[in-house]
Amino acid sequence: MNVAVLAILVITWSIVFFYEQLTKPADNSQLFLYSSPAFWVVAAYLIYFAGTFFLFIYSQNKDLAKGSDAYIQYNLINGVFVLIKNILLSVAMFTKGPVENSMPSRYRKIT
Amino acid sequence: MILLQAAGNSSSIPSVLFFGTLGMLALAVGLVVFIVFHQRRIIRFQHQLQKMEEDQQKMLLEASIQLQEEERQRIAADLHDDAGPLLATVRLYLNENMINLDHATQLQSIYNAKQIIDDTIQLIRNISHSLMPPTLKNFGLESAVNDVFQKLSGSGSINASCRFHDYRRRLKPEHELSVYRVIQEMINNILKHSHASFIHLTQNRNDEQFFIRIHHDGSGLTQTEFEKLKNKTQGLGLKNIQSRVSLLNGRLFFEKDPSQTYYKISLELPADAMQ
Repeated sequence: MNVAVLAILVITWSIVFFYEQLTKPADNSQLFLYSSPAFWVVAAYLIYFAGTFFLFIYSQNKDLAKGSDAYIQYNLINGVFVLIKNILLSVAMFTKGPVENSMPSRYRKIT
Repeated sequence: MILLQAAGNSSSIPSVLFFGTLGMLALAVGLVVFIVFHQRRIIRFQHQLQKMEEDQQKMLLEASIQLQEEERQRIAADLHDDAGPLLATVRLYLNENMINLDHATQLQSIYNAKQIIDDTIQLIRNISHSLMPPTLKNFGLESAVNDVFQKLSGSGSINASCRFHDYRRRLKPEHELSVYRVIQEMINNILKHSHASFIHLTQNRNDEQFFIRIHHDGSGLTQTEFEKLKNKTQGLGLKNIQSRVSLLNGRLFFEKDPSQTYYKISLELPADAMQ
């Protein structure tokens, strides 16, 4: 698949995911969006694909000679975004999933 | 900085691409940050709403408990102050009967005791009728409300009339009692506060709803005034009306007629309240 199309798809899906999270009624198990691993995974891929979108389009249309400045810069920028993505993914891994009692006690009984 | 310097070189990535990348990054980060803050705001708002609902429920519950207590006190007072002394008097008469063996005196005191027992029976009947009107139980809302309006009209102080247009399908018995109490409370309020010269009640229904409308020409309430008053701490009547209506899943509207001559109270109930 063309990498630009893939990036557009991922960005669109991420936006749809966030939109759904905002519009769905808040349930008791998940109070804040950032307390779910899914949020960090989606944010990681959104930032990665948004950041590298133009870079991928550029590299597809131009042959980057190994060792050239463009090649180094391409790898540098890509590397920075891969790093950000991986940091966010590790945050996702360390985020505890839905916690039953994440809601203040006074709201627990109300369902 | 290194990237931007390198962008000047023709073999390097053009600077417009850097700006595009930075722009996209800013947009993505902005989106994520916006979503997080927006959701926090929504949750805060929902909590506030939930708290307000809780407070409202608590207030209604307190009102209904207080009403129950007041009703109990009233019944206790009725029994203690009226039925108690009457029965005590009967006891005295009967005691006298045992002491005084004169036949004529005995007959007289038995007759007196009987009179007092009749009064007591009537009193207890009145108390029980005020708790649950027998007309309502036996003949339904229409007859009970007609009864109330006839009594009102008969007093001569106010022109009261009521008309049920379509009451072939009765309300469920428990709903009838609630609607009756709501009507009673409203009439009570009108008599107490509005100084109206006429009250007119009409009933109607369609396939989806059941309507009761009360018109009067006194100084009444509008919807905003009702909302304000029912949230006040003192005063039980409006809170009780509201809690009964919400229990029936009904709706209540207070409005002033466009001609500004009379006030209208509309009570709407869903069709499932009917039998």
